[in-house]
Amino acid sequence: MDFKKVEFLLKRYDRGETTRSEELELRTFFENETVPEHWAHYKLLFSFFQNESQIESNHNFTTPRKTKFRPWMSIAAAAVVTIGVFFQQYESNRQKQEAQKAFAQTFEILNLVSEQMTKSTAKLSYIKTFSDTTNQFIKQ
Amino acid sequence: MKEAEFMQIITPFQDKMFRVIRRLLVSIDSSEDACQEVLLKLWNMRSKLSSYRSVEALAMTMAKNHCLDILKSKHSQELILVHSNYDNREMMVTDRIDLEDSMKMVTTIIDTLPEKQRLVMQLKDIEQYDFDEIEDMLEMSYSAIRTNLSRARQYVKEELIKMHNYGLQKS
Repeated sequence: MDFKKVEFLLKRYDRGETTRSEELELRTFFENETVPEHWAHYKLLFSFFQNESQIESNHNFTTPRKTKFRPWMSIAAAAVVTIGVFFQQYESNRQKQEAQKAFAQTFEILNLVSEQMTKSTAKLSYIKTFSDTTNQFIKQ
Repeated sequence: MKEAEFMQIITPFQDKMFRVIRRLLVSIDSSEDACQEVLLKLWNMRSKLSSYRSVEALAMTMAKNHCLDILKSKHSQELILVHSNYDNREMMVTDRIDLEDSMKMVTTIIDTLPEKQRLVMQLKDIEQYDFDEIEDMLEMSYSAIRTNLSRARQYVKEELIKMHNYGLQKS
């Protein structure tokens, strides 16, 4: 390719007008020929483009492994939920029963205490009679 | 759609997509992650893929949107990144010359371009797509693509000439 044509193509290139095949022509021209000093930057640029287009990604895409749906999975899930609910019910029932038991025991103890109290206060009436009589004597 | 069939569809453009994503996100690690995510999205819609004119264009559009979302959510971090690139570039101007360094220099110049220009340049100059394909991928008009492309090319050219002149003065 003669320099006149290269110059013409470069002008179009700078304006962004060149087609793919024209750019290929330029690329091969700058790859192969020794070029005048004032085109040195084009030579660098086109060899840069050439280099960059060779870069490969070293990472290969792998499709994600899809987890297959298995029927027993839903059964297992349902079982887990049922057991959970059942256990919670059982636990709260047990707590209620325990509380009732404790309440009954406390009630019994309090009853006993109050019974003893009434018995004891009955005995107090003797003291009252005693003190009343004493008071009468002191007044006289 | 079977896995093998899906792989057959994505293999031709998987590397291209990775490069486009990397041009936008810069970091290799996050680009690989983003690539996986886009491919996973494609895999999840595999039953609908046949209704698209070009799965490749669809993939590129999705990749672009995904990257722009990531960049938007990390905007503050991205600013720091651009800044560090710039430092890097200053350093390389002083002790460049060999080819590998010159390549890095071009990378850093391109990485300072606005996202849209970077993207258009990647698709046109490196992946060698045609205008109509890029129109599909970026949902942009021909003239908008051309404007972005010529701005990017002009900018890169000017920066390269600047560096080149600087290098000549030094040696």
